[in-house]
Amino acid sequence: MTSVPGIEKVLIANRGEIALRVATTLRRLGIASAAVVHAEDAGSPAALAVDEACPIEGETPVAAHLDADQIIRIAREIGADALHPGYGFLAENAPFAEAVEAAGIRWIGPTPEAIRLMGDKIESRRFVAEAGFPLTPSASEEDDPATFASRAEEIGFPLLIKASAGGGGKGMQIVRSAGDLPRAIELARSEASRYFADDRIYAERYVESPRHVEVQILADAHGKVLHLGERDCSIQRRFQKLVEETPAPAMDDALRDRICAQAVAIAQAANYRNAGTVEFVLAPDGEFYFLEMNTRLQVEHPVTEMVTGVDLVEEQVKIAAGQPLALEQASIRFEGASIECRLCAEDPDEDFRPAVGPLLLVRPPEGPGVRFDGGIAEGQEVTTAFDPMLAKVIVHGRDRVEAIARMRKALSETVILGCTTNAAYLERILGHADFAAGHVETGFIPSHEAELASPPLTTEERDTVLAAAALSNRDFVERVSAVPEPAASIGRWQN
Amino acid sequence: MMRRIESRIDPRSAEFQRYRAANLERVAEFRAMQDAARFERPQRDFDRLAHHGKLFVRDRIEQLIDPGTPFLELSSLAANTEYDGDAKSASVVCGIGIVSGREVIIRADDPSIKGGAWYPLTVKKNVRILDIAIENRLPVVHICDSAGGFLPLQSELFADKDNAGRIFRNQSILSKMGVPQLALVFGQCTAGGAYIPSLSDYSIILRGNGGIFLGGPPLVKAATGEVVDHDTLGGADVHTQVSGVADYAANSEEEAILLGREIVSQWHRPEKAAIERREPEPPAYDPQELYGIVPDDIKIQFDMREVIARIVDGSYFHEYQPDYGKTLICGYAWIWGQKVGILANNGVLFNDSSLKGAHFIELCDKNRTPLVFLQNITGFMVGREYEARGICKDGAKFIMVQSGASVPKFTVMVNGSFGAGNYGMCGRAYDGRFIFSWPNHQIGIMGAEQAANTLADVKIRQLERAGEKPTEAEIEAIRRPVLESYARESSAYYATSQIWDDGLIDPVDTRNALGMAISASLNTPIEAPHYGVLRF
Amino acid sequence: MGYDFALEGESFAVHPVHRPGRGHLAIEGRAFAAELFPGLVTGEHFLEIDGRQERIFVAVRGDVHFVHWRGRVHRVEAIDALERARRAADPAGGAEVIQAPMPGTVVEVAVAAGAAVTAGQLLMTIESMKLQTAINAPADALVGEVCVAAGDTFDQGDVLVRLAAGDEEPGDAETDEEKAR
Repeated sequence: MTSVPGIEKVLIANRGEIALRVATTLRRLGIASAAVVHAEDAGSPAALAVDEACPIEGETPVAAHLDADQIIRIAREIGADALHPGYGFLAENAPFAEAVEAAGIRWIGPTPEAIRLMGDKIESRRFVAEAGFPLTPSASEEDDPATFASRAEEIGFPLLIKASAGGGGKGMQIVRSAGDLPRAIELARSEASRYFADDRIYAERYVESPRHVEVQILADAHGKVLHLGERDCSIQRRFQKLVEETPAPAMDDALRDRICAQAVAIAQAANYRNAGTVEFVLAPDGEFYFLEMNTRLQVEHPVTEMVTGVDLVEEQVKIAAGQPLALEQASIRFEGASIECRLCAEDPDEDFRPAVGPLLLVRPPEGPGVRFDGGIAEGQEVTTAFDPMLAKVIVHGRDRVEAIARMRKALSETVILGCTTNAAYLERILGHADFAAGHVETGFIPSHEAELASPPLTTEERDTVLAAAALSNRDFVERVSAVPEPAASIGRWQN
Repeated sequence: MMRRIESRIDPRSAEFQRYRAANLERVAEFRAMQDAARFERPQRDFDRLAHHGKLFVRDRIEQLIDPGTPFLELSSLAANTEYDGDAKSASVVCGIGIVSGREVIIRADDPSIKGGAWYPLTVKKNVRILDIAIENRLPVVHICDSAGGFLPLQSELFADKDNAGRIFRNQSILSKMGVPQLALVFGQCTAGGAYIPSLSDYSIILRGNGGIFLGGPPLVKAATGEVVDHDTLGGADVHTQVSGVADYAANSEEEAILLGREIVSQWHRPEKAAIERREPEPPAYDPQELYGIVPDDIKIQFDMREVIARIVDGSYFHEYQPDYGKTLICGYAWIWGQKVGILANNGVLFNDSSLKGAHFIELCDKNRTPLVFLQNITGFMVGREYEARGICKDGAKFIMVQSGASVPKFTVMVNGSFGAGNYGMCGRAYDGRFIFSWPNHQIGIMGAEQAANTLADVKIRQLERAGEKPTEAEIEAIRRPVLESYARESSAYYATSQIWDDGLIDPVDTRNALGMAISASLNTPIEAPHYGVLRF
Repeated sequence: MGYDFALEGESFAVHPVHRPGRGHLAIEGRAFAAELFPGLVTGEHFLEIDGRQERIFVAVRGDVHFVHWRGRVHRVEAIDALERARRAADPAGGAEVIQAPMPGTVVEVAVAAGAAVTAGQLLMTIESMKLQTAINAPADALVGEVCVAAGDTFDQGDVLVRLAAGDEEPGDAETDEEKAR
């Protein structure tokens, strides 16, 4: 029996960790849940968690999840009255959002207009600039393709060439000198085309050693816009976030309030609705600039949930059902600190090359303040078909020190065997003095490359590992125990 | 309740120190000889091995046996007094090792000795090791790398019953008994030698160095004029792909040995005969003290209990009939957890000790307890009293029961082994599964002194009948050659050279050697006891 | 001679050290007591080693052991010594000749001279006694010469295909006489 009037059944148009996360809240709210499931994901935790697993087809699993028509058809067939797009795939695809609404299905997310406006990097920047908010200097190719390169140069180096429709760190190139510019433009354009089917690009000033600070926004259909605090997501590799936390470390409250207030103002100016995140670049000198707005629920939303106690998916569903936000800005309490680490199937020692393999053993961490958001199960095969992120480890502590300690313990206790993961690498980040001191910035990983590399094994460690392997090797144990007595007790001896 | 032997010797006594010094020297001498036989070769022989890509025979064995396991080498000093010392260990290494968890016999030709040629004593050693295989139902791994029979001495190794033909006969009987054999052909197996892999259940042949043919290229050319090289005539490809004479081909010795281990791992593990067992424990007394117990003069008596105490588990010994027949110690003990019945000499054999021995053997036989004989015997008692009391028939009963015993028997020549005492105490002729000797051991029909005196007496009487009286010098001239030849032919080195035993061992190695030997003997079921007619 | 395991690209021999009482191992000359006990949950083990007790998780797939210890995962591969010896002893380079295992007819040839083939790749299909057999490449190689064509009959032992290990020029099959001209 649904506790959100108007929404009886939700179709989750996503997979893996986020699909499971959404399904968990839906169950708690008494709402029937369904998900589109590709054959490769049959039997996955998400597929098993929903009430209805609806098969989708496509040449590749990714293609299936981008098949808007098929998804809408399925939603209609099962009588879903709402659709949650998760993140990635079609979550920020305005035409898809429109088509869903046109089919009489509520879109659990912002309006298509908001998606169009803020989901487009170039459009959103123009809008924010016109609305009087500070931005990093930038130039868009669209304005005048002929002069794009020279206008980009005018911004000054270093600069970034980015995909307008981009996100998730894809389609970005750092350019440090004029000589590299033409090639970087080519690369960014081809990546933009390939990942987002939209080859529009723009250039913007690249702030060295910036921090990446974002603010969680919730807005209802009745004009109320709230923020639920900031998140610092500076620890990134290849422009993708790896570690996120709240509150942002080493930040005074005045700055924190200014950033959050600005985020709210931007969201208000855009007539935003539902959940979203305003991202800023925070320069070492304390200046911050609007970077982009993500018109969807983000991967790292759990850290906000851990400190505020608010279930963001629940709020999303209620907003989509037309309910006014029950929360008040003044009454939102921020307790303690929370950190999230993204567990990925990749090898940090091999330049983060994606890893594949069977998940022979999966043992999530447990303990006070530990939350594991994973879409993986033992027996699954990790392939290159999907994103390398396997799960998120989230911890909460009374303060940042406790949160770090809990995260380090959780990471070393997380057991995933059969496919290489970055668990130990993440633990080394968390254990680094610079991280503890809050000296985070987007160049953290490259600048600490040597220190974060896997330390070589000592002889004692090597022997321990080899002994464990030998003694768990059936052949070895059988051969050794086959030696009869008294030869076995006499041991190595010759007369 | 297990009773320990109480040692009565004083390691600080002058006697102990003197014996110890003498025995340490003997053992050092033995070890030096053994090391030389095992490892010393002219550099050109090592070079030749390297040139052909061959591993040294001991490295082959090392790679074959399971890591961390023992290897009991037998007759390491065979042929040490013959052939001018050219044929070290009789150019073949034999022993018992563990391969893929199975007790096996390893018989490896040593190509660093005259190309691994078979001397008469090589043949004897090979026949003996296969006799051991048959008696103990032990599988055999042959590493074949021999140039063939040593032709100058062919009359001593070819035609007789226990000559070369017996090797192949033994192989056939082993196979008939269902005991597997594996041959690794690392050299050219020519003529008779070709039968070793051919009679083995499994064979691996090395590409390049390996070859099997009844007639080698020179013989073929001489016989028919056909000119053909080794490989085409009988190399790996011919035999593993065309003729089926060999089963597997390998490109390196390492590969062949690993494959051999895999083959052995397929062999059935037989059930062992059930004997009494317990958790092993080391002797309570230090085996190193053995050096101070055996005197430096063979005429001096010592208490064999002191030897037993330093060989058996926990020095536990349950002595049987302790007050009767005291010149023969009988009792139960454990060696590496295996229960045995021990008979040990503490003097000459009298009527009572002979009867006690026979009785105790009967008990062990009924009790399914293997027998261990510790020899230090000069013979049976002589004299009118003893003959009248029937020492002949009492000794005969001892020999009759001992010969007919069904349980496995093991002999250690601790010191002297003379005359009929050798017989009763399970000398070579009595089918003991294994015989080991200490370097101080002496063996002969009688002691050197006794023999010299006897022969001198005969000569003196002869001369006296002719009315002459020999001078001191003449007596000496009779005695000295006897003493010299006896000294040479009664020594442990001569005995082991002739393969009258299965090897000399350092006294402190006795426990391990017996432990392995007893275990290796138990593949053969123990028959029910029964004997011939006992003259009462 | 020990049993070999590879860790981080290096091979180590693990020797069992037989001794009365608890298990012992030796690695690179260092001996220590080591025994592995199963834990309470799947994959959990307790390794008693050298007087310490370590909690580890192990999962095995084929010859590969994944060991989780102190927050790090290590990949250890059990090396098949025989396979390794075979690969080491295999004559490198040089031509390999594929001979007919029995008399028969060629049904279909799947490759041409000069083609690069991988181990196991189909070279041709033959038929004998109403049974079709696939002739596959024994290892990665270059096809030097295909000596038969579809429809040809052959005897046991006849050469069907000549392979090269990759650095031989295919088709260089001139006779001495031809070279001399």
